[in-house]
Amino acid sequence: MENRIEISHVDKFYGRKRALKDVTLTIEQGMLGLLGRNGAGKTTLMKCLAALHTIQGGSISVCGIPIENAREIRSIIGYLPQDFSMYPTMSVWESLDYLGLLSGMDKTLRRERIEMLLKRVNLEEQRHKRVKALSGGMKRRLGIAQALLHDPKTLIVDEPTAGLDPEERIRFRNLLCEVAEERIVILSTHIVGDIEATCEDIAVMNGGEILWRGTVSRLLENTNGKVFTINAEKKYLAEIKKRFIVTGMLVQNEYVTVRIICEDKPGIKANATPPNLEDAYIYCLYSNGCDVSGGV
Amino acid sequence: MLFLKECKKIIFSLVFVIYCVVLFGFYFTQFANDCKKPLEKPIEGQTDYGTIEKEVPEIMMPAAIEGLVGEYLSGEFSAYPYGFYKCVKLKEKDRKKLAEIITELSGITKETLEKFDDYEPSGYVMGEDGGLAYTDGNIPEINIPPTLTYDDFRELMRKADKIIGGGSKYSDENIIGNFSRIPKTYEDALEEWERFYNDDKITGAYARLFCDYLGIIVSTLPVFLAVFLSERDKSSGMRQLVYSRKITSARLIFTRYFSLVFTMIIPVFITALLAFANVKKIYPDNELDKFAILKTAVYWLIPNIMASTAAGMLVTEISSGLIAIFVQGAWWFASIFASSELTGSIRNFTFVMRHNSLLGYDIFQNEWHTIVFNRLFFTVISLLAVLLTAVIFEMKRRGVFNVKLFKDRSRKSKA
Repeated sequence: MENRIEISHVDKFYGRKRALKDVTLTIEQGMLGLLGRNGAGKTTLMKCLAALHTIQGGSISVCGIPIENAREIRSIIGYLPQDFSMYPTMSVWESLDYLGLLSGMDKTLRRERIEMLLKRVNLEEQRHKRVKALSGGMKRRLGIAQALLHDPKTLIVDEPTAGLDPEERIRFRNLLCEVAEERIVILSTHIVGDIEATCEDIAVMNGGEILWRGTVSRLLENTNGKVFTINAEKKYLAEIKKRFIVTGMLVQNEYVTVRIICEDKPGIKANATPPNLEDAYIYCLYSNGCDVSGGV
Repeated sequence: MLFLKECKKIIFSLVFVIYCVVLFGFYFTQFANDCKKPLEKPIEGQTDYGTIEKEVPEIMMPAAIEGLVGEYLSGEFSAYPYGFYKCVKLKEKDRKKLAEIITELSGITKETLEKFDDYEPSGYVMGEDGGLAYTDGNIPEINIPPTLTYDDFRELMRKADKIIGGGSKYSDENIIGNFSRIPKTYEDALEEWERFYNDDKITGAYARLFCDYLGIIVSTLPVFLAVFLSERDKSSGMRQLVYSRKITSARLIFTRYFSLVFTMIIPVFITALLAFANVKKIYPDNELDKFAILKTAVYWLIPNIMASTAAGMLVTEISSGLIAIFVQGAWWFASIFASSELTGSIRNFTFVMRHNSLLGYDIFQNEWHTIVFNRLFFTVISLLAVLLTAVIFEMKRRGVFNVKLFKDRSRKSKA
């Protein structure tokens, strides 16, 4: 079975609203970061891949299986939704065991996989704890464990780090990286830091379209020479914001250091600086005609 | 295995505990209360032995004509055209036809019927002292033409029933029960009492009484458990996780359905065993059928549990749990209160079967075919409703079914 997802000219409508517009994407083994604003269409695309939404145009095949064959798709896909929980009164073990049953796993296999996954997500000691007693980070780790329970070929995770503290976020990212060594992992997020720390392969979405597809280094290259820092008095800040795309600022007493994106070197005193992924992402949106005036 | 897990989920829920408390509470306050002493043998010379249905033209004719005139003047006719209660209001054209029939039956002219505006129904009214007093009501004087034969009377009543739309009090099936009851004699009462012992073998009669009481409860409470289980995925934020698993929708929904029905039957069976113990206590020297109450509960109560659960699951899947409870409540209420008869009021589509008496073995036996049809109907309908629930669940799972008529509390995608 080929380890690849082929998305070809996919359209999806919610009533008259076109949520996905002619999306074409090929995803190979490893981790793909799907980056985009809230409302960009990431979750819709994820749900289409998990056979939780039907598509109105185009085609999707996951590891050679057409998306219309929902039952087979469900058996090879692990899905961690953005907004999820489990039965609050069930223990960690019981929850996984129940979901394993729904995945058609026999008792021995369930026991083996649950033991292994609890160890992997570091929830061994919480196995008898009720779900409602888990912290946000623990719940997320339990979420990844349930998604991996039936050893899927593809793992889809939607905004998995939202609401986690920095330590949990790092732990979660590392976990995803480990998992991606064996399968396709699609990580959807609007947090650039998650992508920066985990993915080399990314796709940027906006308004239901794929704006850009490639590696992180290529996206950074595209932005080379377009990021500058300006040191100015605070009173000029409003003017700077009006003229440039501001991606960061640091206020020190009466002065402010502003990080801006500009096609050419601005006329005022500005120092060129190497772009980071956040700059590159904002520039990508800007260069594709998206409104980024909200900036920082 | 999944079945057992679903059962465990239900049994350890608060809704199930409430179900058990209400069920046992109802059992102890109703059935157990009626089961404290043996049914007394009729004593010769008693003032009242109750009434029985008997086709006596002299009793039936004036009573049925009076009933028809009363309903005509009130403008509303009670009927059960398809087994369900219906309040019929006739169009002017049909009222004219019915007035002609009434004239033939009672001698009351059309003009008198039209001008009579002093109608009062018969029945119990609140007296000045605050107590209930029976009033004969007020209708025009009835003079049955001497030339009217019993056959003519029945034929005219059939016509009246047809105008009303069928299933009225004047139909062939209902006219005797409604208008031809005679007081029981000592011999009738004794015969009935002997039938209680010999044909019903005591436990048969108590089984019916048990099911009559428990039927009231198991026709409505299961909806709460069905709603609880159906809504639990949504309220726990578990829906997407369940949707994305390999299991087929049909298997999941049917497993959940049968686990609900199974868990709700357990307390019913426990009360059935308690009921037998109760009966044994008051009839210690009689040979009793240990399984009579259980057997009756199986065919009488399980279809109610099945139907109420299926309705709850289906409506919850289509709309929301609150609407499911409302729909089920309305159905239950209509079924319970549509009929004033507490004994033998069983029709083809009666949801809550009633037989609130230890007597009436004959009535029950005479209606046996209706009961079999009725119970099979609700069983089949329930299974079809569950199948439909599974189809809707699968459509929702694929993002196809998007309810807009009702508020759907399922979480919406944020992208």
